[in-house]
Amino acid sequence: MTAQIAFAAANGIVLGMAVFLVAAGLTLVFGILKVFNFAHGSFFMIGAYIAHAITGQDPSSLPYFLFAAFVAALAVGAMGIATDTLVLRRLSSVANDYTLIATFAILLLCDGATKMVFGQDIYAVYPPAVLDQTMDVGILLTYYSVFIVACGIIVFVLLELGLNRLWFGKLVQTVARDPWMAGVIGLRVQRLKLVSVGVSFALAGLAGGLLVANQSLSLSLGHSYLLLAFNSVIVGGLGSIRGAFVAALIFGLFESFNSLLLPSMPGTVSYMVLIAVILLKPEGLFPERT
Amino acid sequence: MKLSRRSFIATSVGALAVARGFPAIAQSGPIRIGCITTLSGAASILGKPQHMGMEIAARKLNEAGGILGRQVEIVVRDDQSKPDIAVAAVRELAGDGVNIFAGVLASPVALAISGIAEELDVVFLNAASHGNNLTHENFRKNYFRVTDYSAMRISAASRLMAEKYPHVTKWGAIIPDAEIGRSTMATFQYGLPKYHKELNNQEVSINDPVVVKFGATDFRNAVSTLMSSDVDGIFIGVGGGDEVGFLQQAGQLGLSKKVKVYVSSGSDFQVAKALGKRTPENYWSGHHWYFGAYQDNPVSKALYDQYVADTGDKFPDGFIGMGHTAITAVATAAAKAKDLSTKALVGALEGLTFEGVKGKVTLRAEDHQALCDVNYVKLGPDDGELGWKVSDFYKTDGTDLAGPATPGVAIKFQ
Repeated sequence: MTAQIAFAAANGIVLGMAVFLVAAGLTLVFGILKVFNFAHGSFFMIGAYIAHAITGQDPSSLPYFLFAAFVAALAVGAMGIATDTLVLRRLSSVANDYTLIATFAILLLCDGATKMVFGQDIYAVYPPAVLDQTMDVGILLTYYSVFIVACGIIVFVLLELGLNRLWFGKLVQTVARDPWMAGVIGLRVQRLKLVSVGVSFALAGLAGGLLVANQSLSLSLGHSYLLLAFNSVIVGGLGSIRGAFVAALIFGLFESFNSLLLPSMPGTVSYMVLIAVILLKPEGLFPERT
Repeated sequence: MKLSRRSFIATSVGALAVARGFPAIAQSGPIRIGCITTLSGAASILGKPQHMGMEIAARKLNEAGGILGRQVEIVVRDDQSKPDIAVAAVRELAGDGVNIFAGVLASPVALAISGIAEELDVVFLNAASHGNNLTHENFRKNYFRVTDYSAMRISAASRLMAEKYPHVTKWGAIIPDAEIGRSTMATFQYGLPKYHKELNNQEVSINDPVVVKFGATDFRNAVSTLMSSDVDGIFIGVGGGDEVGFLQQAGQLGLSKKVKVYVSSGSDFQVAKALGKRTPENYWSGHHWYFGAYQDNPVSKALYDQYVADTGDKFPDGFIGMGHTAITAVATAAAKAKDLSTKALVGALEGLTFEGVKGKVTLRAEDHQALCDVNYVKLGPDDGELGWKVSDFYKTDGTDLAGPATPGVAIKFQ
């Protein structure tokens, strides 16, 4: 039983980091545009399909696998810029409800387009050979699991440093907080927003490319992660990278231990956590400072 | 507005028909059959073949003169795997004069349509759903199932495992957190010990199943639990993308090398097509129809040849066979009744025996369940272009596996 508990803990961290990789772009776009992007899961899925189109079932090497994820990030980032220019920006002056419905329409559009371009078959993609091995550290772990955790931590650190320490990140935060004042002091608000949205979408594409070997690839992939990613963004505090990171870890661990300790009721504990946090701390664990 | 006498008469007749509640069934045009299936989302991978099977059957019928001298037209609607969408589609087509419906993948969708079939005076031939309840406690008179169902399929899997793997006596299972998962598990827990006792005179142990969410991405805890339990065989109740994800992670963590056999309730060729050369050894999957088992059957061979000619693919899903079977049943019943009214068709379908892609099929008069073969296929890795191969198959008559007909009463395993 001890080994199983240790495995559940390790697996919870892996799942948490996978969820964070998806949630990072979601919370970033909320922080900037104050919009819940329903289509985020679909862009994540598109990223995974693009990576698979490049590598096939068995990526030949780790650099090639990373290259495919990078291309997926660029492609989805470009789609994000197009989405912002064509849809989101045009709805910036109306109530958020309209934008929410628009992102739902984009979700349907993305799912339909993915089906047309990539077909509806189910695929299994494997990690490159160097990651497709197991290590026995008292429990059996795959190198790919460790890779996912490393990717999650790297993305978190880069975003935290980028947003809080770098000049560009501070400008983005200024625009996100008060776009009118940012305009008054001479910042190019639309351009900064556009670049930030592009980065947010690129994160979805990157997550798709990095996680493509973590599960089967099908048209339902986006929906599989979206709910846990949404939960993490809500519990972490809307727009907070740090909050999304901590909440994703919490959800990953609870999901994992749920399947071990309450095997006949998979997934229920996550919702109990969500309800509890909303009741006790509705602004989330790391609310935006005002 | 000027109204000609001809327009006036046509309008008046139409209005009278609507006012009297008559469906506008055309008696001379093509026979329109409503194909309700899933054409969007992940399950469309199964719905499209089902529709294709119906289209091929209709094309062949039309080449031979149609049904009762009328051409057959398949009118397809996407149910999105949602009962409310399916019911709306059936109501729309029924209002337009369609009284024959076929198809559907998901059991809840089939249940919803069977519930309104009598009210709308339509007949519904279900070509895939496996829920035990549809021909038992939720039986409806205008509902027919032209394929095997959960109790038959899993009983066949139990018999197959007892026959082919007499030394595999310690079993684990993974099922989805849904009614279908629990009902398939109940059948397996009943059937496997029974057939082991009958065929090998020995006991088997089956652990409590590992339950996972529908659409889960992470199966590693499930794999870990199964690895730590001392089992030789695993019953897989999850399907489609979930099954691929489970076997992908089971392979990575070494479970597939540890166990001697996997038996799945059935994803046809999807799992092997996805996993390719990583398809586990000794993986048995249930099929609605496996063409390779019916090389001498002219109906099966004609469908297979047409499918290959149309698509270039050499491995048709079983769902094509069941779509085809539904239309064959309609044509045979219509020829028998010489009438296309719902009442006549229901009467003709009850107890009907016809030649389908799996040979002789009888629609049991009492509960409208097809008594037909059940197919399993053994798949494994291969060095060829596909990366996987069919290494064996199992074809068994499902008549004695169907259990007694108990329309209106839930099936009991005892």
